[in-house]
Amino acid sequence: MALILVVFFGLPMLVVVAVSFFDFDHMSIIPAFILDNYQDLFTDEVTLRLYVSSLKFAAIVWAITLVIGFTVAYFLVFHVQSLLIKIGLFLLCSVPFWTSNIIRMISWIPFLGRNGIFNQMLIASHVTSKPLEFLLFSDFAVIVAYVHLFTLFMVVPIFNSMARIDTRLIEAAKDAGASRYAILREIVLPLSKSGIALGSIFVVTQVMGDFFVVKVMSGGQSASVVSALSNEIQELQYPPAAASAVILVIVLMLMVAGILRLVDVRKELVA
Amino acid sequence: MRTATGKRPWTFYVLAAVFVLFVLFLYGPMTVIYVLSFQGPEGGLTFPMNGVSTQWFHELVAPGRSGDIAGSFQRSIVLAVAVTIGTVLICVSAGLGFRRRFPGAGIVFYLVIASLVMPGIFVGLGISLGFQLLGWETSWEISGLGAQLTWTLPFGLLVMFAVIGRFNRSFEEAARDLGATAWQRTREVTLPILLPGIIGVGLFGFTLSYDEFPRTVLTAGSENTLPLEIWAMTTNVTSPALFAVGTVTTVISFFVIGASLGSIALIQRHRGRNVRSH
Amino acid sequence: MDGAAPLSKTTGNGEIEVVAVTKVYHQGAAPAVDNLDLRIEHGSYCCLLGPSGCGKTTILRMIAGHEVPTEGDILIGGRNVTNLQPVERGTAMMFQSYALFPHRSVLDNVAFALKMRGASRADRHARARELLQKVHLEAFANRLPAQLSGGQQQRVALARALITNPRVLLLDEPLSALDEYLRLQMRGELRRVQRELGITFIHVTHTQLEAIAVADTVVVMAQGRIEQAASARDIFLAPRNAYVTRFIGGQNVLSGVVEHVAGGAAVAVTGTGARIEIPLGNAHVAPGEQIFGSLRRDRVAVRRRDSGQPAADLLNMFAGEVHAIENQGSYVKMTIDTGDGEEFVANVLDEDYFVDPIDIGAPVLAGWEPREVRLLEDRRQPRGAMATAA
Repeated sequence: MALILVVFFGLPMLVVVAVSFFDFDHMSIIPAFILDNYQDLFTDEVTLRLYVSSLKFAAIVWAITLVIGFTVAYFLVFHVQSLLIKIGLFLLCSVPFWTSNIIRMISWIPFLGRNGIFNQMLIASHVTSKPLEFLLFSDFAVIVAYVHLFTLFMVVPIFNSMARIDTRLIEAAKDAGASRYAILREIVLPLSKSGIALGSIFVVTQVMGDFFVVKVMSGGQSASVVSALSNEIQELQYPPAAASAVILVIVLMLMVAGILRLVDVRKELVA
Repeated sequence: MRTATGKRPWTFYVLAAVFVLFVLFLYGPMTVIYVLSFQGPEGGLTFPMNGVSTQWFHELVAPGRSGDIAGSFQRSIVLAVAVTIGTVLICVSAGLGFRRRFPGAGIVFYLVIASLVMPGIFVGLGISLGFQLLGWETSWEISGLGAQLTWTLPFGLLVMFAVIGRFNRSFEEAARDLGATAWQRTREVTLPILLPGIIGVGLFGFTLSYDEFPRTVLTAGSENTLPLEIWAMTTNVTSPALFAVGTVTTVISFFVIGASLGSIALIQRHRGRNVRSH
Repeated sequence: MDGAAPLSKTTGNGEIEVVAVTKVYHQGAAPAVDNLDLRIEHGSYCCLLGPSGCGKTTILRMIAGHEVPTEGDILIGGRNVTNLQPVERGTAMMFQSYALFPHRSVLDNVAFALKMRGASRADRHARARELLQKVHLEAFANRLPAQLSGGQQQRVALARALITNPRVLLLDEPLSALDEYLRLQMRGELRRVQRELGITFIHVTHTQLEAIAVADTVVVMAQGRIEQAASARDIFLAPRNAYVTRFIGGQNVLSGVVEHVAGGAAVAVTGTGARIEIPLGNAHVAPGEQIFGSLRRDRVAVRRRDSGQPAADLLNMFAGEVHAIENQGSYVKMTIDTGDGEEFVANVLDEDYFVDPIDIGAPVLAGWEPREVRLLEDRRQPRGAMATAA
């Protein structure tokens, strides 16, 4: 296993780092050691805008998936009595995530479009008279798609953490007179922290690392760091793409390290 | 949770409503696609439906018009099977190996986590650049396979950790006590008991590979897998054939998932063990 | 067992010798087993008794071959088995959780060892059925372990271990997973099987009464060392030191500082000022030393006293207040607070107690015959020096 990971992961990562220092012209890349690529990135204001855009998406999606994920997990763990139904409902939520991301993403297009279902429903129920334009090919659509694709990454770790909470703790709290809200605040929330952290890591890295959702769902209007990167790749401008990749990875590592500093997730991973 | 009187609190209904909305949110758009894939011959990409037909499904099989669906489908399946086999073999042996502390275990563990968190496109970028520098061609059989393994192996390993964590070592000791050699132990006791987990690893391997996009997009070489083909179609194809593809591929995914989970459930029930919650 | 033909007696010597065995798990940590010597006779029922962490399970596993001693040797039947695999030692182990393979039927579980040796399906199934007959479980041959009750699972585990005709059977807390009623039943079964087979049983437990009930030899352990190894009767009648006394139960530990020695007995002053006489036998003690004695709880007589009566000038008698009363059926357990810190208990026969039941808080006198006190090996030197256990 170590061999495969090193060959197909470790080494390629090193290659990316190396290439980020290379020079290039419009035909090919030239092995060299120049800092131009990094310099361009740091001085170009586009870089900043892209990061702001990506971080904005990441933050919004994180917040929404956290709320939804937590609620769904809480419902399944604490309000569903039968184990069989609990697992059945859990599977019900999970199965869509085992199907193609792309298909699920584009399935929103006929749904949100001008002539799409949602608009037709709104018009039919007289909520609006004209179709809502902002539903598709906008930031709204991007966020909806992200939430649709990534909420499960929040649900599963939080579900795991919550299910591990000893029910006797909750009974003891009830015994001492705690309201359900107090139980949530004092017991459930703190004990689910590692699940929340794990889910957050997944969601944030997925959003920050995405390029096709933002391209398609915004109709090309919005961009993210990685979508710009993919453009560069298509134009065979590998070194700047590589440099951009390296910087993004560092940013991601910092974010992940930050989350891990707050919460220890190791016990979640090694059961 | 129930109140002292045994009735459900009002929050139950609120949360249940949220849950139902969530499920609708998940399945709603997909069902739109399933319905639209039966769009009539004159119909467009959205509603209203102009009659019902299976024309778009036929188009998939006919080459040329909607891209090379049949070919890419075949490649996806072959690749997914290869990835599944590789993932199961590697993750099972690695999972069992991790039980002992071996030198470098920490490094391997961090490599695994890093590979999980890294955006797929970077891995693809690294591999394709690496191949370029070495003067090799990227192809779905080699570079694509490797790229997908970096995605499936971490998941498979995590599943193995979870399953092995619950595995009681005294089974193996009892087998040893009764005279089993290491190989007999593994074959007669360890693997059969771990079988549901192994099926889980296989399930992860197959579905993650079959639907994989970012890692594969740069490493598949000149021939596309199905997700890549679909991606190309989103820009080229303006007919419900796209939806037909979506329906077909989803049906296949459901089938694989159902078969795996079904066999796990059967095994659990046969052994009389209660299914535990996480 | 009754009914079918008796289980065949095993040939081969099941004598076990543990020679200077030490087991250290982590560098720098205290050893789990510390330079331990033990000899267990062939065909005897030996119980290793002690609290969690005392090393008893470690010894068992080293005899089985599932752990390797850091130092020392293990001999079975005169042969040094320290470096042999479990299957080469002629031992079989019954695990605490039974470890029945959940994916195999009861019959396959029992036949497993024979399958490992390459026996044919017909042969090993026939032999497994024989053993299931002995444990009265042949009707369950095709069931899965999960479908059996705890007691039945244990009998399957027993059959599985016995199919190889081992000369030593090792049992790791075999009764702790059963409820009280089953536990008492299975105790008798284990004893009967051992007698019938004539092989050596080594049974690890933390329950004193269980050990005394089944064993020929009881080995009391603490912190990796043997405190005392003796017959069940001797452990109870003649415990060596305060630790064994307290662990075995049913006894009080008395202690006092020696005042003088007279007539083969030491007169010692307890912490409350009362005097106790402890017969010395061949031992020698010096005035000023603190000595310890054991006194059976059922040899203590209790009667009321007036609270005005002085507590000093008492000989072989304590004055105190009743702290707790516990009805144990044929006797009543009275815990008395003597002001000493050490728990003092009298077991009074029920008919004696209920003539005039003494309540909690009542002032009492508790007395005994001096010859009932046995000297223990513990000594404590004057001026707060370290205690020595001889």
